[in-house]
Amino acid sequence: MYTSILVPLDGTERSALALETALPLARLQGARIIAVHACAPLILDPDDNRPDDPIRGAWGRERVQLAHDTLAYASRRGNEDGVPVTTELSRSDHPYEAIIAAARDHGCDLIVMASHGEGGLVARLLGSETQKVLTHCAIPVLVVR
Amino acid sequence: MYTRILVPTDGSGVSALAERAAIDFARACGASIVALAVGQPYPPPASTEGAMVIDAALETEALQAWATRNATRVAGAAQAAGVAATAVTDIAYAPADAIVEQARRHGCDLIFIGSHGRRGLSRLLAGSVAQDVLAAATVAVMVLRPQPQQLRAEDDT
Repeated sequence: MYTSILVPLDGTERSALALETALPLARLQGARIIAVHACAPLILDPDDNRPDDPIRGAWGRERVQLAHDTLAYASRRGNEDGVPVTTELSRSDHPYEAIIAAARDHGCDLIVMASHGEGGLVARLLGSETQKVLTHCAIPVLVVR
Repeated sequence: MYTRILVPTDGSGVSALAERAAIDFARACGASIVALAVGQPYPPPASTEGAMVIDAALETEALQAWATRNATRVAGAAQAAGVAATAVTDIAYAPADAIVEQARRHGCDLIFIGSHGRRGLSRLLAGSVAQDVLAAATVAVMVLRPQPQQLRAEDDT
């Protein structure tokens, strides 16, 4: 049914749950997982992290580390469970755009994503990026809680 | 992995897509299906000023018959594919609430739902049941999108 499953990860526990849901599904289907993490270009380019602002610099470095850690985690879990995982660090200010682009570029036939992400408004009925992905994408989306 | 999947059906083409996908998915996961049809009555008018007599029971009867037909059809299709299935019906003004409640009542861990997902003001209403289910669900929800040929067939413009 599914051969290529896209799993967006923002580094939160909720998105880790999406990965944990996708792994056994991928295993069952003999599918590959595409793990994508979006990070703003301004943060990924070290030259733009102003040297005169040490706090911004430190935050930027932490943010980049989170991006790498998140994708490394996805790779490790794939290895542990015997599921092929392709990781993608997407330079984008808008996670939903990165998600839809990655799904298109990798020919994904399913997206598995958390209902909510890192946004503080947990009281929202549905996370904003999840909402936008649902509005714009053409393939099935499994919204995990 | 998922063990019991709720599949709502409204008899539409979009719903049919979700039904087929749910059956395939259930078979792959070894899950069972709860096929749910929700009859949605028109809210009764406050008054027709004597213009006509409205027998609410007639409408309920018709809706119940429609719901039973559809739920049984989907459950039958699942069983024919080797998937254990139960047919469940409900009558509710708000189908989304009924879907979420029946999922809870039957211990479902996944809800399959089709969404029109069309743009434009008039189209927003078409996807509203899916939207409301997503907002209220406490379990995972698989949202299916209509295929282009489906959209053309369903288009009423």
